[in-house]
Amino acid sequence: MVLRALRYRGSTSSWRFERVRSRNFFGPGRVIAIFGDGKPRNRFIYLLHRYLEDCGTLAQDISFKLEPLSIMAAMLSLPPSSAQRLPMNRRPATIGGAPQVFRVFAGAQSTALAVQWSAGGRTRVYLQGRETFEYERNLDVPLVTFNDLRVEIYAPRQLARGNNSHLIRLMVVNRAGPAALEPA
Amino acid sequence: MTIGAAWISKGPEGESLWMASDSRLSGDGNVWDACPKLMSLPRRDAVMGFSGSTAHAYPLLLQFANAIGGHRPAADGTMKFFDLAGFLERVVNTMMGQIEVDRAIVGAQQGQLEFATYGTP
Repeated sequence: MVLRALRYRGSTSSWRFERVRSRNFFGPGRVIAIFGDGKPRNRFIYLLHRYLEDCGTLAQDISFKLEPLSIMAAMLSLPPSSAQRLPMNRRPATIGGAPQVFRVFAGAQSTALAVQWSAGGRTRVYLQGRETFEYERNLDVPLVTFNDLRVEIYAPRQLARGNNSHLIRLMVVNRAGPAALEPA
Repeated sequence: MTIGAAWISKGPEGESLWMASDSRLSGDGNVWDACPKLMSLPRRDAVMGFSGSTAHAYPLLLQFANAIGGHRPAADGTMKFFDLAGFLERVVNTMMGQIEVDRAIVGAQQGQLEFATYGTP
């Protein structure tokens, strides 16, 4: 798999796709590109670093699993704040909404994943940021659920059946999270 | 404003690329939490995401998709990914080189600029 970031290079006054390499900061085997604005980006990096540290896998020569997704969902579920010095239990007000997720297996079709997300006291299914309608419940894409820092992925059409005992669970990541993410 | 990440995961099922982001567009006086920031491309094994100016990113993403969709080797994977990256670099550099300051608003006062931008009296 190849990960490239399109960046403007001032020295040549042109845009270039630059190869994203592993970050020793997280571990030599962990290839990640983090994009966005300064404050949320820095907070994300800090929380991900701390999460890996708490999990005891920081700086190990292993790849990411779903840890970045766990942290992103945890960040987005925090209340917003516009404070200059962002409290640890708040997210920057400039980011929000449900997480949107894509997965690409090597040589296979890229897949958008639906997300079960709670906001405003109600839980709905979102696809690429958009809240889906009731009649879209039989989405032909996998579904991601979040429970604190626990991430579960279900095969398409499983949750719509309403029988949890038959769920086909594709992947689970469950770790104790950084205390910083716990609500005040 | 955005937070997004793309990472490579290795497991028993092989390598996979993951990409995730938030869904909020803001900055024009509105907050809109239903906006795609990640896009699949006509080439089945490629995904793109963006942060920064939506006014630039959306046209670029759509033209990337159009460029790939209009060239079968790029779409069906015959063209190697590295060559595809070069192709898309030419697309972005050509497009970004065509942005011109709107002469109608050069030297305009702030109020006039808003009129030109939003079309409000």
